[in-house]
Amino acid sequence: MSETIIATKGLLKTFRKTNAVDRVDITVEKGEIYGFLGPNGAGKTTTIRMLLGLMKPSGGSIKMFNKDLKSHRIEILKRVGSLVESPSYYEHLTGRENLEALRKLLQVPKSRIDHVLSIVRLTKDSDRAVKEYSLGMKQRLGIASALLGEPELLILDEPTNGLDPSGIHEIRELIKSMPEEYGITVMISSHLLSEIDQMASKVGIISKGTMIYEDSIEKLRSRARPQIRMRVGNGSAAKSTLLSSGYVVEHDEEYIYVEEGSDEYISGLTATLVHQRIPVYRIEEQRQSLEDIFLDLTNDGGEANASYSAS
Amino acid sequence: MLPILQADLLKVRRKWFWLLVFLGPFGVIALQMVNYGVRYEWIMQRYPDRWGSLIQFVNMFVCPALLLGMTILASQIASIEHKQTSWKQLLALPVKRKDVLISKFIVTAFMIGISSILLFIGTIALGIGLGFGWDFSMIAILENSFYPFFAGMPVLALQLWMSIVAKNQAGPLAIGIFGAVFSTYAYKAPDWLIWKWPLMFPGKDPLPFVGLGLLVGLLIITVGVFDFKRRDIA
Repeated sequence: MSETIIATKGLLKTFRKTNAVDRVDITVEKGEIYGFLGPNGAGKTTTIRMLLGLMKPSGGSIKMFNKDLKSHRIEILKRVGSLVESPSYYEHLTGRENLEALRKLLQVPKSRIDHVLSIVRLTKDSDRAVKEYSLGMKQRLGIASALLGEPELLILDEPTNGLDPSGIHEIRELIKSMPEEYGITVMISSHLLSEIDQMASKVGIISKGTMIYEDSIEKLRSRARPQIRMRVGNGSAAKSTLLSSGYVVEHDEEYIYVEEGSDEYISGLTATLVHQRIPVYRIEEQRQSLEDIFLDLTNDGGEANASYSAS
Repeated sequence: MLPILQADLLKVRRKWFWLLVFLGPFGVIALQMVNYGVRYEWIMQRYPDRWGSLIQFVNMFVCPALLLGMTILASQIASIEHKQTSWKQLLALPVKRKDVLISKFIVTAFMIGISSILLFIGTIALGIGLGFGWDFSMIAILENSFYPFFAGMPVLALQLWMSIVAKNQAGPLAIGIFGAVFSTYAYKAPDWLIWKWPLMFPGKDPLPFVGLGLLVGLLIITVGVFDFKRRDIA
């Protein structure tokens, strides 16, 4: 039985008459890692700020743990850990003191500090001032802070921004382990699909303030239409030959592109070419990468929006 | 409320707040040490009421020092959260914005209170050191040390509100410093100017200003809370 952790309906935020977030519906189920995707400036951070009660929506509703955020803010935030954009910390304090300042507010036992420090592997450096930390360590401290209150929901906004590849890998592994090891539902935003791809079970894609896609990552992958590309001796001759034989193809210089990729279709097509003594050098399948789908989606959304506002 | 206060007291560590708390009253007393050091004989001849005149001399610098101290402390305590954009982390915790603001107000007021105690002790120590004997009016020194603090509450509330709301501290600091300087010339300014309230007017009852200070201070912080609550945290 699944339980809905976050449900927004028609969420709206208007800055000076432009809709930064335009009627967004988000549904996050318990135990999911929800990837919240969009190019920079699409409205991800604004949406997340509204979910955390930092900004007031101009319209729509937010329900978390089946309660209305407006009237149960404190109660809901007790169950949420967050890391919004760049990590926040008090650089004149040590890592441990930073957590202690938060612990007093969250009113959790002191042992939680050692626990979260060990989760993000900062125990050794916990008594150093945070200003001496590397960016990766600060980010890990941010995650430790988010975990301190034993949250059921973790909201992370661009948690790997500015990290090096090993730092990204480390954080990603940490986030991936959250649902299984601690039963934490995660909502993570990013402008890079490749990053979310390896963690998320569900994705929401936002572009120019509007949600243009929300479903499982598998469904998104299935949108990737495979295409057969052939390199042949004479592109234009091959195309006319194939067209006259009833095959639908495109050509570009020495390449032939085929959308329909069934075995019979391709073998028949190849046989036709060979019969006509047109050399075939390569037959390869090309898959549209998720990145391409993402770009297509966000561009479509952009155009749709542009024509919408023009009319 | 208590946990937020504890957290705020933890955050001011290693930030030189306490040095400032000491420096204010020390500066005021040190100026009088210079004053008496330079013209001791003349003062003794001119002002036969030794303790009374000492209190009045000390009083000259209490108001500007107090307003300056309030300005700097308010700006500093707000800067702790501004610096690494910690507001978003702090306010995404299960805390009430009202409590966050009021806690910072209590912490700064507490610090100014300690400064006032130090001023009280310093005044007595200076008088004893100058050989004025133990025959002084405890009440008069207490009034001189604490009335300005109470009467200055509106300024503290205003500075804290401005410092928390403004990302750039230049504005609140400029207003605060101007107010402090202005206060030294404000004897003849209209009574509604809150910056002149901490001045103790010779021959005028200070109590209305003290009562008004506490009341208006409370009013300003209440307005500040309402404003802070409705703001979007970027």
